Amino acid sequence: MTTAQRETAAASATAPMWDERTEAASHRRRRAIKLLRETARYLILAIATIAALYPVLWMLAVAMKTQPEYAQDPMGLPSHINFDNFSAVLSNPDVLQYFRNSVIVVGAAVPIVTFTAVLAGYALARLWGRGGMVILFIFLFSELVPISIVAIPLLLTIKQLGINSGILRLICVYSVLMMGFAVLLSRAFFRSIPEELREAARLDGCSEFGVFRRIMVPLARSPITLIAVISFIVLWNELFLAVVLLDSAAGRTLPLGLTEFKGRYATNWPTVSAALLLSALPTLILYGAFQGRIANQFSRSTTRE
Amino acid sequence: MNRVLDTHDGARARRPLRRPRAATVTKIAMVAPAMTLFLVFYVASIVAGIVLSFYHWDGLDPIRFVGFENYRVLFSDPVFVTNVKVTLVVVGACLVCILPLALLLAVCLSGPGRLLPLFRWIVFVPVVLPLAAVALLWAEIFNPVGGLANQLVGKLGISPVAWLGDQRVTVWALVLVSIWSILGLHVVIQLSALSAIPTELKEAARLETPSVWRVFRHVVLPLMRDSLTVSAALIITGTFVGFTSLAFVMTRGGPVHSTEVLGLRAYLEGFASLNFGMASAITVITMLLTIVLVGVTLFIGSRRRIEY
Repeated sequence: MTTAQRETAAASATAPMWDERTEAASHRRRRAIKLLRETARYLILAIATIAALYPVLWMLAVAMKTQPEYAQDPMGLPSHINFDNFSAVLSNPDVLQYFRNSVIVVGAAVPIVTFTAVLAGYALARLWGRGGMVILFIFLFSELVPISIVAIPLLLTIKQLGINSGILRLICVYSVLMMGFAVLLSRAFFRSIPEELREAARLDGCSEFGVFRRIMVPLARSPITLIAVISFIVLWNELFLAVVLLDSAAGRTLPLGLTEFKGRYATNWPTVSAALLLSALPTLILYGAFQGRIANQFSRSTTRE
Repeated sequence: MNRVLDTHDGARARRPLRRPRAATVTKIAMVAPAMTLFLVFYVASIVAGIVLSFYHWDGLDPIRFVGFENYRVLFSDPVFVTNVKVTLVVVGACLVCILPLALLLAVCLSGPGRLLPLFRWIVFVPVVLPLAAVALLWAEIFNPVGGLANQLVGKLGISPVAWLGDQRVTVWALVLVSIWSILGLHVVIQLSALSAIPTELKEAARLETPSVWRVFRHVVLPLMRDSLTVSAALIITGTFVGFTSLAFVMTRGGPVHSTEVLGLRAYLEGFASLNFGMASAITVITMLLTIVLVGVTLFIGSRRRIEY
């Protein structure tokens, strides 16, 4: 570096500091920009909040209105809090049946998918080595082409297998629907556990399955919970496969039942919206309880690998 | 103790026959339940779909091999061409809207602000609502008589719109619902990628240039490539499935096929026309289209990857 260059460099580095007025002005300017930025940030977030919540809150307000009240003023707040619509929904035998079906289907599919996927995830992470890549590829492929896309051939396959109970059909298919996601997530988790742990246990005479049951499962409590919770939310809300696979009325789950319910109560939107809110309640509660972790894992599971 | 030594040496010198076989049995047994379910329902359906697409079958008459006839009929059917176009338009519109919006909201939501966790909770709420409820809710909002949407545009002095009855409008109304229901997921994906970027990197860049925009454009954005690719892939596969459900509940593909995406067409072909061979051919085309679109996305996403 020549002397001249060094001098200019020094000059440009120290120049602003000489003039205190410029310094203060630029400081003020930076604060103004920051204020502007924060205002913009919260403005955008406020708009997003209104967009996300207004329809839901509107539904809540409408659910507390009577039908004439809604017809007169669809947008305003209800004149008084009244839960008649909710109790009408809860005393409807059809809705209760839909609810029961949903509980059975999801209640069976979630443990099945969690159990089988964690087993497979562990085996693929630690026991299969390179040979497991083929198996892994099939699970990855199912993330790319979800089973819902092949719904019609799936129905034909299921008929060929002779599974006639709607509930049983959904239990099987819902387990498969979440399988790819669950296997990939648990595999990623088990890969993050040091290999030495397994080797040490094996040297102590633990069988391969014993390592899994006594050491890995207790360690994996949190991914197991997440698989179960996310599977519950997705399956509780699933509609299209239920539409295709339940060709008779029996076994209708809540989302499918709701579309029927709406058909019958087309003129009574307040009652329908009470039903919609009640159907969303289980997932909203679960989401509330596991909030941050679910949101993160929803994305983490897919960004990994 | 004896056994321990045995295993240890055995693995190295002469592999005892019992050990490896037990391990093989275990590793197969552990994958077997998941794999069986998968083969029986998923892989079998894909194979069945491909095979059936070459047959004519209405569920009653004997099944008949027709070669590529189903595909030939489909590609000369103007409605099917519309179905493909609608599907591509919907996927494209969702990509174009969701990615920038998700990035913008993720940037707004990142940082240490005290209210931000609350906002992060809020943006995800629509994602956990049942899609059936979302569809019915928005169908009521778009109700031409007294629906919220028309009241809103009425206040702006615009005459009422037939949101779900006008073939130029309906597909966009459904795209809006689609975006509303899934945006939160992508915000969270982008947010977790944003927070994974080391702060030092951003601070170092800030020393170089005072422009926040340029730091974002040249330092942050290139690092978001992976998460944006994942989002894009999820939007593509998600739209194929989610939009089908929305259209099924809200419009059944109407008016005049303007919201009839491929998934819905396959459903209608199977259930309304009882033409399972044709439905299978549509399924196969849908699969190929998904694979191509996601493949292109992953290819674009993996080019010029930057690692620090």
